[in-house]
Amino acid sequence: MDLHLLGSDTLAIAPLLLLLGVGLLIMLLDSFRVHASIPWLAGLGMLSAGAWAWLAGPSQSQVVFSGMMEAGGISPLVTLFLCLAGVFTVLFVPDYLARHDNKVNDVYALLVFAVLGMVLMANAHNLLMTFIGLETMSMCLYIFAALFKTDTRSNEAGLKYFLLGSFASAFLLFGIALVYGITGTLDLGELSTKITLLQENKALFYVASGLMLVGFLFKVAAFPFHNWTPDVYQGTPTPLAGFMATGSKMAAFVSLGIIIEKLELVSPAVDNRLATVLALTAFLTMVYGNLVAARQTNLKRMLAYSSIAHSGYVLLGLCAPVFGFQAILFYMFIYTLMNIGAFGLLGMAEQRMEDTDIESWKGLGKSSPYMAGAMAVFLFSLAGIPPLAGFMSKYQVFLSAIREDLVVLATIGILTSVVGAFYYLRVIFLMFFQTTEQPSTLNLRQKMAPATGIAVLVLLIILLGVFPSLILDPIRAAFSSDLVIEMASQP
Amino acid sequence: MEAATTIQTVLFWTFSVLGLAGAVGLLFNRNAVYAALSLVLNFFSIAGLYLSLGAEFLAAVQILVYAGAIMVLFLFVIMLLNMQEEKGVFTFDIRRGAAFILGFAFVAEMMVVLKGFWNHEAGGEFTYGKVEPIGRALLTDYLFPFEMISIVLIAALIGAILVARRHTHQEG
Repeated sequence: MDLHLLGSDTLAIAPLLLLLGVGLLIMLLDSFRVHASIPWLAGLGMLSAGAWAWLAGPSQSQVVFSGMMEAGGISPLVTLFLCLAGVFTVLFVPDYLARHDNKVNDVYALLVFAVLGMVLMANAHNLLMTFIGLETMSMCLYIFAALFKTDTRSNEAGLKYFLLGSFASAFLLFGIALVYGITGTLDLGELSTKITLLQENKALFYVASGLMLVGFLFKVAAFPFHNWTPDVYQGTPTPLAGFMATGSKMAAFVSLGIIIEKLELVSPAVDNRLATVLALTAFLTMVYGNLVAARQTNLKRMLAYSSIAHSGYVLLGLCAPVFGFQAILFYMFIYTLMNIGAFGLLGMAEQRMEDTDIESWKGLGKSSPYMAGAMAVFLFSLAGIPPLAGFMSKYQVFLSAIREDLVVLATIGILTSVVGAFYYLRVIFLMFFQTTEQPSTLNLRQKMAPATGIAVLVLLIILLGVFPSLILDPIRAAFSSDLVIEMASQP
Repeated sequence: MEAATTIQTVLFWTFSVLGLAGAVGLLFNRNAVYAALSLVLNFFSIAGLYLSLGAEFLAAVQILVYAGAIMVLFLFVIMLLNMQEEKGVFTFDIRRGAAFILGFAFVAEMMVVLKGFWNHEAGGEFTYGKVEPIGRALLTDYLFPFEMISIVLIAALIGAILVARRHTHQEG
């Protein structure tokens, strides 16, 4: 590598270094027992890293550090989205932990490191970096799952996630190793020039990309690899489960999307059975997630199954090259807002285990109308009901699928959304229209930070539902400046 | 040249057979300590294979990390848990049967796929397995991932401390 480029390379990834610095500073402050300011520091650090990437990031797509990372193109936007996921999560965490007598401040350092890992993974330009980012992120998430040491559910969640997650990472790594075996490189730019070489070694390439796909599909909880999701989300502290369901999926989907674009995994020009595999997974995930979610009696488990269903919709978008990729970036951002909101609100109400049962939300519309109203907005948006943002994001994904003649899949997506609407609306019905003798036992204490978070998220969901171009236009602009993806998408 | 190839072939077969013997020993020994020691044999044989490929650094790391650090950890755990002889390892139920069949199918599939690569002649002299080129690569082309791995280690360290720390009430 050219040493004289080191300065400009470092500047291009400055937001990453800021995140790293904030994480280390938090660890240091924690050892001096400076507790009160730590959540603020984490939040502000992530916010400024995201803003820095977005405002001062390189406008032209370029690779830095000997082709390890990508700067410019879509990466500033993705960095902003991932940092925002962290910021919104941190608003809900202190209150939740305080209520459960758990004052582990390392959580905030881990949260920052998790965001850093996600940014590394989503902006990687080398499969080695993808793997390191994935491991950084996963390591932090395993710890989140096991945070409550005296709670057996949390122990179960931690162990389950750790063992299965390591297994999935090994699959991904094996696939990456085979790709290296075929081509002799892990650089995504170089790999996209060696498509013919990959196609010549077809059998080996199928195994390699199949193994990589297994790793990714586990991380996004797609159908045959979804079994860990409800148990892990249930054992994880609720706001952190929301972060797990959104940030890690966004990073994994962006990374998978880039790999799919560059290796032309679903390109119609190349005869490739992987497109069929992806479409089939999308189909099964949508159907399974929605049908099983409809049978849940616990709100947290219902949201876990609904997050499986949402992964199905995103996979549907991945089946449609380029337009689908733009649509899923939009989708994942909106999904992040509404899901962190829903999990955050659930966390604010959660004091005992049975508080997450759907039954105990009965009649909440009377006792705390504002919070019930906010929950209704999140659930309406998750169901995809206009004019909320959840509708626009679903619309974009289905539109991109129809453009690529995936009409059958899009139809199934729409049909399963109807099933989805049923279980989201059931909760809203219980909250507002079910009369009970005694008012809801839920005690929604409205602390400043989480209440602000809920208000901002609700406003954003309504605003982006009415003016989706506020986010869609920057996404389109970022994609058109991303040279590598543009090149790969040319027939 | 001829002699070198013969020696290499002999080394390959020796280490392969020993490595497989170690792996089989690990699976079929009911005593946990014997199983762990079989694993050491396997680790050393694989290190030998690396060495015969010219990957000196990898061989050294294999012995240091796996045969050294990880095995000590295993033996400590076995000692602390005071493990009894494992009984009923070979009971069979539907789940295990399914796992066995699927695993076997996967291995067969990989064999078929990799068949074309078995007879590949290794091209040229291996130079990248030595310590110097690896050190050079780590501090030039791979500088960024090399530094970033430290975050994984920090996160893992925090996690280990959080899980292992004594539970006191005020820290929850």
